[in-house]
Amino acid sequence: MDCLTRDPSKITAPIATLEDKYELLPAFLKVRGLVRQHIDSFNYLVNEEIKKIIHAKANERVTCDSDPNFYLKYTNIHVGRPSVEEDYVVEEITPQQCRLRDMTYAAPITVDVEYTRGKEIVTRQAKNGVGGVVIGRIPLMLRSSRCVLTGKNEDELARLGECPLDPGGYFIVKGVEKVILIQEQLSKNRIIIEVDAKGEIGASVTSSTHERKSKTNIVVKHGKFYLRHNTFADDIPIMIVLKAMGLESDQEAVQMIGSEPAYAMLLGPTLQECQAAGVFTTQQALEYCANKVRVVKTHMTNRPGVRNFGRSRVDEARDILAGVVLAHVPVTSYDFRQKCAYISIMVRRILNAMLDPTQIDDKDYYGNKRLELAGQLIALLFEDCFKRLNADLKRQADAVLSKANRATQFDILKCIRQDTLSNGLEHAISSGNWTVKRFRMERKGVTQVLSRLSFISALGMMTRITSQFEKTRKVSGPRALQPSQWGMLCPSDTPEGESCGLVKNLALMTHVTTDDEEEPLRRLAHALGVEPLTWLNAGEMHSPSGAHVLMNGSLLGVHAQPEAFSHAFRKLRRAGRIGEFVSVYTADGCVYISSDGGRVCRPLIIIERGEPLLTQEHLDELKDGHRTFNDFLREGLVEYLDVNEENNSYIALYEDEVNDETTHLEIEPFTLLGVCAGIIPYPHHNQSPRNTYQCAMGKQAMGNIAFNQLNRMDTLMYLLVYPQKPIVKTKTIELIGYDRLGAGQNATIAVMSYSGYDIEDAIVMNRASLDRGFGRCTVLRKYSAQVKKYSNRTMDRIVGPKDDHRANQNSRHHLLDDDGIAAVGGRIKPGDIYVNKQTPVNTRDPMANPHAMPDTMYRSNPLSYKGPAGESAIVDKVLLTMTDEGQFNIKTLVRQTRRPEVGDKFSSRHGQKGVCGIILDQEDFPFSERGITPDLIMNPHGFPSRMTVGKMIELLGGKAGLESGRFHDGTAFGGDTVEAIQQTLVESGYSYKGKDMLHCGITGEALEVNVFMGPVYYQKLKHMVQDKMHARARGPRVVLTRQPTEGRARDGGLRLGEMERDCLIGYGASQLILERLMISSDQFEAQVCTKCGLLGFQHHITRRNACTLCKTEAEVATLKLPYACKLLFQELQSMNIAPRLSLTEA
Amino acid sequence: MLERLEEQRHYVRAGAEHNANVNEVAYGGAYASVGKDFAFSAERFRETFALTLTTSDEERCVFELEGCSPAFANAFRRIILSEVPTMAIEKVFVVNNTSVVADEVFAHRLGLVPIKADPAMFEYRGEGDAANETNTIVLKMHVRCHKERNPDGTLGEVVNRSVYSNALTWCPEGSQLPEENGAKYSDFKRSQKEVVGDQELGCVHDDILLVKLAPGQEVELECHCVKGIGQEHAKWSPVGTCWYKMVPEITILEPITGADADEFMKKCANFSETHKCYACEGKGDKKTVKVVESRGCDFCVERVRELTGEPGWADKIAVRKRKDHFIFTIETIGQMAPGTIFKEAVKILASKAQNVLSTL
Repeated sequence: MDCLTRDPSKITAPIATLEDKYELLPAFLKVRGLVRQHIDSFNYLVNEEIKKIIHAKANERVTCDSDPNFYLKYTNIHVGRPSVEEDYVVEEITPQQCRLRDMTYAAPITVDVEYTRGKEIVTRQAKNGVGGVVIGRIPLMLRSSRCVLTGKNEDELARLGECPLDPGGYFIVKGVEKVILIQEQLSKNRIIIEVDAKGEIGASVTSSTHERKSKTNIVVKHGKFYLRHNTFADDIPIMIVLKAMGLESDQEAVQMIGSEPAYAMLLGPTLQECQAAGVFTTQQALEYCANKVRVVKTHMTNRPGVRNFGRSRVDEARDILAGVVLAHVPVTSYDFRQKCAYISIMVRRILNAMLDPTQIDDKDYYGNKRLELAGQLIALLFEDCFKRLNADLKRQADAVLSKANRATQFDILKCIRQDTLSNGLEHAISSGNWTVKRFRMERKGVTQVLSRLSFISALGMMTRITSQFEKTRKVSGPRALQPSQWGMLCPSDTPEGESCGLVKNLALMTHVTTDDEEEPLRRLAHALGVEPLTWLNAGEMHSPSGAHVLMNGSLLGVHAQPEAFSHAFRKLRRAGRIGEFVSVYTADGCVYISSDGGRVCRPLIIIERGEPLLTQEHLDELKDGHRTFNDFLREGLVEYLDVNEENNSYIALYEDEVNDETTHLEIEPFTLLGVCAGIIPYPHHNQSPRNTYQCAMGKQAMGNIAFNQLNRMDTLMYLLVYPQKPIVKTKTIELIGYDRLGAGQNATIAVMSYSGYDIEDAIVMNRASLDRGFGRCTVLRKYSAQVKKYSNRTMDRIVGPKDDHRANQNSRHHLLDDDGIAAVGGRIKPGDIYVNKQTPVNTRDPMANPHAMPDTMYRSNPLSYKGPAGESAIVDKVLLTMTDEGQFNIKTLVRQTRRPEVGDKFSSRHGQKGVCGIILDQEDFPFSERGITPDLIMNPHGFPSRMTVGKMIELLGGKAGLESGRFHDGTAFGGDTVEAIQQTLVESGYSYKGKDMLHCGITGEALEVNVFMGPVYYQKLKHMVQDKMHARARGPRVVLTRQPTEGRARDGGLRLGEMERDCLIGYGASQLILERLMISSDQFEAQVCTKCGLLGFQHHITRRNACTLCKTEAEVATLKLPYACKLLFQELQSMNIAPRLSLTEA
Repeated sequence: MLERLEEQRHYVRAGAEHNANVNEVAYGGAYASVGKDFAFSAERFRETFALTLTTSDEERCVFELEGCSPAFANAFRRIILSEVPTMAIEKVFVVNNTSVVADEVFAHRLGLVPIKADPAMFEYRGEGDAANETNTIVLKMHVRCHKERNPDGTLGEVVNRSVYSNALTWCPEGSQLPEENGAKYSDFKRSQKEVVGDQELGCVHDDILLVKLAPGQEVELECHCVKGIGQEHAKWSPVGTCWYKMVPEITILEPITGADADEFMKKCANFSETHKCYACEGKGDKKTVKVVESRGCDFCVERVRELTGEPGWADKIAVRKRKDHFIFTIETIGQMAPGTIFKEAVKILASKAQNVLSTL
């Protein structure tokens, strides 16, 4: 019907297609970068939040109990440029310097202060943006607003030793790159309606303010409503709580909750209970509450400024209700009206849910989740450390000012210890232990070392999200892919195993919001007609057409026309009058305005009246560089939607799906995948788990790590010698720069069975290809040595080898240069010394001349290379450096170049991993009629069960790409079509099926079937046999049990485990079991007294057996048993259990 | 009956999905039941064997082998790939290498550079043999990248940013590295010029990029080339690749007329102006397809083969490939002419045969 009433010219007009809509993406990523969420969050901390923290009431002033006139007031705070003070000179530092020198990339925090010194008031003001007093150093996030790298172009970055493709967003602490993972949490200050274990419906709110975190529940028991909170020992009937808050009239309470008959009926029992308890007035209610207050030894409200003496228990109860229960709802001068309204809304929502179970909230719904980023986490820590610093200052002021006579005037600035902040932040980031005392928060593993195995692994880590959920719990809900995660989180990129579904990754376009000012929004909402609660009586709160307006979880008021209101609000956002990340959405008769941080959102093209606002002209201007993505945002052509607001929208995937109700248009569908899944060509043709496997494997693929990879000194680095660009690319590959830092090679594969060494996913490799450099890799390993200084002013020294040592190739010293450090380019074998260090014999007592001690005062303490026997490596690089603490370090990089061998692991980009099964000569390989010999042969059995059709299309695309001389596009939900590819193939004389007629290389005859053959991008994975192969005949044993050691690193034995043992038992090979489990393991000859049954001993000289208990020699027998068994007996004896062996024959 | 056997014996039928009769029947008595004896006889071989050169230049040659079994052609292919000796860099003595390329990677790259030298003039160098003028070619390279200094003292262009294979120069007098541990790196009795005559040894190509340098970086090294075969390492293989294919024949089994002729022409013939493998005669229903070029070209053979897979076409046309007629291609890497390589291969095959005979 609609089409009849529309403008007739529009019906015939072709649907406008935005061909280069994709161009928005590079534009978006150009202004945003790949890890904007981290950087924005950190910038917000450094520029705004940090100011809020020091201006918070509890933090702003340091006072002193003993001198009422004394104060120290923080007036401003600045975070400076990354620098370090060395020898009293402040120097700017670069990230690369920090990595190499094991320093922390940090900037000084300076404050402006006003304080009393004696009788005068002193102010210290900022000069040129640097504050008056340094209070510590904060580790800086790379590419944040204070980082030296921001705003630099590729050349400038290269000059700083930095890779232009490196995304930043991580920290460098003590030379280690650390990422603060994104933490996923249930949103704060929001009402969640859930069903408890007993099947009862309840509402819970986790309130979070700067001072306090608390959880408030409203529960239903036997049809009655109760408030449950930690501070109360017992559940309190909700009516009593409302009465305690001053809502004495039952009628008013019911009106507030909802006077509709259905609601009133359900509230009956609750009202009755209150009646039965004999609580009618506020005073009575408070007394009731006071009786239920959990008695805590130290007073809960032991806050500065609040005096505890003379407070009645009723006062205490009132304070708890005001400040602890639902702490985020403000209560000013004990006016509880807001809080009453909030509680009644909670009750109303429970009632709603009781009447209509669909109203129960889904905890896994992503709109109920908030992501905590580096900035927020550091803010928590910073505030904690800052409070500690202030408490420290106060204690010192107390101590000094309480003394009557002082020699010098007390200057509080001299008491500021920078370590409190610096070490607090540094330790937390380097250990990953987040301890915030005031929230009783103790989290482990918040930070992780940035994995630099491949470029993708580093990038993938920056988008990773961890959930607070316990990994051990076997729940499926939080692990499952939620429909609301569409477009926000990558559906493919999650690990397998215990943390499956709990660790997630952001999609390509996802942004995470930071906090936005609430106050202007609140005023705006009122200006747009939101009636504040104070204007309304209880009966006016719920009108059928009107709606509650909630902002960040707290009730603003009521609006009569919610649709018009939200529409107006959105208009203002599109006009740029309010922040672009503020979201407005309506649901179940409420309008929710969110401006809090941690919401995930993504940009979409706005559609009005069935037409995208973004037109081809706009895109042309973008291409010409006249506009940027931000211009579109400002002009309201594109906007960010969060998960909740998406639910109020009707989003079209493609232009031709746009109709009159459509509100938004997707920019590009493939952006719903993350960076790791974006590497996969044609992922939409693959079985979904295969894409997940590739996401995990892409991180293990060897390739180029970064442009500065040869200047890095990482403990372990795997590099491919000849990495290539994939022939079948995706748009994501171009966007993230994978085509410049590839991790694989285009191998011509033939899908056929050959030689039989290709079963179970093994691949057959062409030796000539390996000879020519296919799959060749370099493994670099760092060994560091420290030259220590000791307390008696002596220090380690490094001495050159004696001349005769160097000439002898077999000497352990042959590699050393004159300076006592391994020569670069030399071949190093296990046992060779690479740093010839000597340590002073005495490192404690004062020495006469610590810098010129005789040789006899040193003992040799050389560092020798420990690698697998029989394999040599080459010294690649030696770095002599000093940390900012003056610690002298020698880092030696050792290199090994490896060619693929049988057992090395390879994988295509479709989760199809396999090890090399055999390496055959080129002449034995099949060849096509065009003379092409494949580089590797893959068994066709890999396809039917895996269903990786994408790989087949990649092969076709690659083959066509070779013929047409261009890179083919395999972008998800798009890319070159199979028809187009086949057209190219047929035009160049190939079969459209991609199959070629091959000749057998051994017999020379043609093969009976044509073989699917073409190039596929193959990754070499870091798992190589050389690092894993292990066997032993004899070797070391564990001291305690005398059993063989475990593991390759300790040259351990190969375990005959339970299952193997079961087989032998079943087979009846008893002698073999005895041999494996005892004789070849920990056989021990024990002496057992036949009289008492306890263990005796054998005299080591006379060789006579004896029992100490029975004092006998004659009745002691010798028998063989596992040493572990003897150990068990002795350990049992030590706990007063006497195991006795009774021998039938001795 | 005989016709079918004949086809089986001589042709591979290249179907849409399946290649039939790929195997060669080597057993002479295989057709004894029909009274035929196809046992190998040298006379018959001499009679039927033919080698026709199609195209040939310095780097590539295509010729046809007729009247031999695939095993025979394959023997040549295998020998050429892996057993015809050439010279290649085997040892690299790095004096100085400040480039970003690691020594062993650089050495690997150098190894793959084709060396212009006649392997027949050299001997294999056994383990423990000293490097002498008859078993080793010494090449040296010393390149430094720097900014040129102009006459007025200012810095000018950067030179030697890229190092190409022409930087390798021949040292006919042997190694020029100083003695180490009392031993020289080579033991040349006379100048290598006397061994090779007036030939100039070096790299085949001057423009193979070996390494890129930044100003201040330097590479100084010496390479020792020895004789070897492709079986040991692909760098000694005299060819990039070498292969053969069977000669295809497009046969019309039943006359293709009328609409079929149109379809055939549309699918298999009309893709290019220059394509003249088929022609049409007559008009309307009497239109008949005629094969002009029974071998077809690379493009149409594939199209016809695909067409045989479509319903109704299998009985009308067939793509068959001759099992005793091959198009053999040798693509060299430049140090030896393809003809020489083939002759070498024949010699090696002959000596192998001799070997078998002598041990029988």
